[in-house]
Amino acid sequence: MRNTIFMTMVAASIVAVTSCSKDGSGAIEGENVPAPVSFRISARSDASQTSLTRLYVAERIGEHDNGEDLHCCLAEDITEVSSDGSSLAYSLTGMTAQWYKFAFISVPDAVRYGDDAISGAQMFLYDGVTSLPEAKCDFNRIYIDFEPVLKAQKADSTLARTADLHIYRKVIDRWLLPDVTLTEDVLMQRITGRLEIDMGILEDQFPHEIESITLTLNTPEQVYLHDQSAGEVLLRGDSYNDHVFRYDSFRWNEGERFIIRVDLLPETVNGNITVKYNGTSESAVYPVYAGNDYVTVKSNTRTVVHFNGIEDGFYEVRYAGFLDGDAIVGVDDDVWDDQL
Amino acid sequence: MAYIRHIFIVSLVAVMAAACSVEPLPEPSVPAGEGDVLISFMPAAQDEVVTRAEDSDSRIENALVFAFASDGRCLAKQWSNIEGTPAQMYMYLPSGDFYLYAVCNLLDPETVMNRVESLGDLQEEAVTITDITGAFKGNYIMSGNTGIVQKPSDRKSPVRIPVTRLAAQFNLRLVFAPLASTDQLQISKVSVHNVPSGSWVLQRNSSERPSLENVSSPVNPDTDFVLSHVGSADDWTFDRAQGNMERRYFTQGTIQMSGTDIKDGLEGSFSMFENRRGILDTSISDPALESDAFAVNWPQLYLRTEAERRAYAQLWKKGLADNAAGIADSHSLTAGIGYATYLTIEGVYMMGQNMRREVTYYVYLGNDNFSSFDVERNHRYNMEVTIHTIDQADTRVDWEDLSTMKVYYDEEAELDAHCNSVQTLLYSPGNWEVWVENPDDTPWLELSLSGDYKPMFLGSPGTDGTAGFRIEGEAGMRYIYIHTDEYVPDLGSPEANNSVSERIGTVCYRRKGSAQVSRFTVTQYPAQMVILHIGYDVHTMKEVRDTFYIERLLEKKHLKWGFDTYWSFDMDDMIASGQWDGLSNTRRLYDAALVGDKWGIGPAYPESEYSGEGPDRIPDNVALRYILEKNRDRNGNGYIDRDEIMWFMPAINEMEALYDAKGDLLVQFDNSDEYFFSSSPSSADPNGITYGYAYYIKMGNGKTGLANRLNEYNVIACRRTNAWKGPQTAGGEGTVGKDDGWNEEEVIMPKE
Repeated sequence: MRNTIFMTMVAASIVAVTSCSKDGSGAIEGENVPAPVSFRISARSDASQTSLTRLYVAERIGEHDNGEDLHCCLAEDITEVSSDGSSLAYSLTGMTAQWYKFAFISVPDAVRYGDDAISGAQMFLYDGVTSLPEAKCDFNRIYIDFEPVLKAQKADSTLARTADLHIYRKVIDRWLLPDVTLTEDVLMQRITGRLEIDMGILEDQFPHEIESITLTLNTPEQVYLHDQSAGEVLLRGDSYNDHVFRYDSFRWNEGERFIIRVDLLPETVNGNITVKYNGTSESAVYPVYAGNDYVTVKSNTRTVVHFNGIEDGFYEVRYAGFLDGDAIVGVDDDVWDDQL
Repeated sequence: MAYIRHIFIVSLVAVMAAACSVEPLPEPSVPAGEGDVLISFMPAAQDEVVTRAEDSDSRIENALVFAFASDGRCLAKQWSNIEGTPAQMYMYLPSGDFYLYAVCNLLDPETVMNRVESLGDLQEEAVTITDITGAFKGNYIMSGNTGIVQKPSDRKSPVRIPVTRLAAQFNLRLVFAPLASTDQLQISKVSVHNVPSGSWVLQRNSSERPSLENVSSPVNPDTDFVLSHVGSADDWTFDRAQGNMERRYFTQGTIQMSGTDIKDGLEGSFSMFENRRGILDTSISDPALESDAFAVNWPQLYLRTEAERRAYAQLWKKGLADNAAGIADSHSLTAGIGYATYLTIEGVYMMGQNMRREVTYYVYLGNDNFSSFDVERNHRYNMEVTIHTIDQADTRVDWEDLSTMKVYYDEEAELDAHCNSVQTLLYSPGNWEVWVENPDDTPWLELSLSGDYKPMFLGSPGTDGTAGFRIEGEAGMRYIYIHTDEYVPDLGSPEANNSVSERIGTVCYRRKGSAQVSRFTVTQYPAQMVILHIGYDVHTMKEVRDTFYIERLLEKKHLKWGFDTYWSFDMDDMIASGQWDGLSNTRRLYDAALVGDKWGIGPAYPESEYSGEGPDRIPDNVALRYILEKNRDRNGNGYIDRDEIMWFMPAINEMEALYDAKGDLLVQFDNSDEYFFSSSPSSADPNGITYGYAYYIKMGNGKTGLANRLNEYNVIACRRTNAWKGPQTAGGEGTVGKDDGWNEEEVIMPKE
């Protein structure tokens, strides 16, 4: 008879347990039954961290009620820090030596804006959630909801400058060996992108003083955790919504460039910029477009869109005038050069 | 044809036998009295070199004997299982003169015995097979007869019946010996075509085989031929109506070739029933005339020397076969060479820097390599096919130029439920990549450059040959490997077996930089559930409910049980305790094979006598080795460890449960009417002199028994539900960081 060693996860403080366990009916006594799945969420020890890093582990298992292609057997938040203190560290023990898919993912967390804060833990959702707890173990249906980050950026337009609002991810497929702890360091890649719209020096771009600039985008809000083992960013099809980013605080006539910065999921930009002038109901609408092509936000890419910008090799001539009282047009002293 | 008749009971009577002889007596000198006679069977000697020490080709396991009077009436008939050598049995025979006819190794001798009442009936008996490999089921069906015999005077002198095999055996050796050393050839598939699906039990040689010719003036090499003998109407496959004849052949079957390098030679073998489809006329006058038959068949050679004719005539065999196929005389006697058996050898040929061709070599089988299309019973053909080059004059080669990348995967060959590794030929004119499409949807499908599955371990991702979802390589020709994990679905009961469908994955490939992507699909069968329920098991003293899964395809058949003369305490114990737990049996057999037992008993396959690591020491015609290879090497040490055994050899009770499940139509698997070994051993000789026994079951009727461990039966692999996958002692650790770098892109947004 073999002793069975169950994989036990001890929860630190808050424990949310959703178990996908299979009844081992028909199993020979002494044979292993699959360990119950648990999702462990523990309180973070370091309060200054503004991101939540989580590790999902999935395996190939046919004998499972739902018969999903990849069964998520473990989800734990990574809070430990490496011995030299420079980065986070993960540590898994008591695993069966087999093939696993390890998905490391980091989302913004505890990022304050106004009276509110982005909660990383609530960004992890599950496709087609039903009331059955067993249904939550299909790895391919886990997705991340970026909407709270978009909402925060709408509320605080400087947030993208002061906090890291990006999603980082790394998915690897590896085997483990029995009786051995293998080591591999993981470097997560940024899967979101940044859109920077450089409006230029506003007083040079627009005829009148501006009351507000509104960026309206139809942008995706949700992205799947899995990446088809190729780093692909798989957006959730029905998660596209309109988002309106409003800017109304300008330093007019100070010669400063006005740059809109928004962190977004990678996708073709579908939106426009509406400029409303002071004192009138006049406004101008400019579709966000790059000449003959769409503007696209890409993973890990800072896409700078120069509004009314200048191509390489071109220059602009503007009227160079003087302010009142600053210049006098006069004639030099009546002095002649003599020639003898 | 499975009607059941009551068993014919034979009584034995003490006998006084006359002297016996092999030759038929012209006249009986003394009329023989009735009584018991010893009959011994003599399989015909092979005129070729015997390649295996134990000649399973001559094994006789059962015999059915008829005694016919001169007018064909059946005087006595009896069948019996035969144990050991020499093959002999006792039979009660009546007085008088008679002819003895014997048929050995039928799958169901009783039914045949009940059906045959006269020599005429026996002459109409045929054996048919449903599987292209059916001509050899671990032994050869044989038949033979004596002339008139008398009963021998004493009970100990045997009457000998010479028997010959119904089937012919081909041993094929394929060698690539290029004329230019830079040429390369890799084989994607070797197939045999036009294999008969049946044979007359008794040999027939009576029909005439006239000649046939199609000669025009002047001779047209694209259509003309002269046959000295048309196809034989004595073959079971022969039918004047061509449509009927077509149904009596298997059109194609793949031959598994073994060997790693075609320059050293690849080997394969197969057996088939007789197929005598014609002989080309080789008659030639001296000096040769343009009107000679030889000259019509081989117009390019008739003026050459004898040696040249001998060497080159084979080049036209396929062309002449094509000319003759379908041509029939007024009696449709040929129906003809179009059904001759031939091999196709497919692959990719690379010559020099530029020539890349997909080639097919045709080899027509027969008694010689240039004129005969006759495959005769009881012949062993040792063929060595040497490929030297692609040559336009050689009508046996077809080719197509290859300018694009190609991967030769047989989509119709579905894979079984256990782990698989499929060797697949790839050719590409430039650097290439192959990948699994949407691997998160089909994580069970992987690719690698190594035939053995090498896991990609945490911490060492770039190691050579490891399996993953994407592989790439440089221009040229090589084998890649498709690996699948096991497919064990979650089933509530065996009734759900039929509701689970195969799973399909897609593999894509393209030349790097090319937009054109090609695809092929990989299909895998699910495992099927069986339940064994024992109300009370005396060994564990509990009720046993053993739920396990079985596979469906038998990639290898007719394996011996192994452990030929081996005895150990544990295997002795297994006789009683190894009746139902096949997984435990398989682990214990693993130890017996490789480790040994207490008190100095060594393993059955010790390192001192067998080379290889772990189970590789076990010879590959042993059932245990075949079963172990269905598991996956999870720790990457190159062989299956004891802990890695998930697919096992079932015990005899599990085989009985499988027979019941088969009867209830809950499961299906290959060759389900043949003999299968279980992992339950039976007695063996502690002195290691005589061969041991093991339990078997005849899946056709569910009867179990003990068989000599050297017998070659099938085995089927099982896997327990929720199988133990090893100890939970693995771990992983490392740092997790974020890559801070950015890519930059700038665009201009116009104001207008």
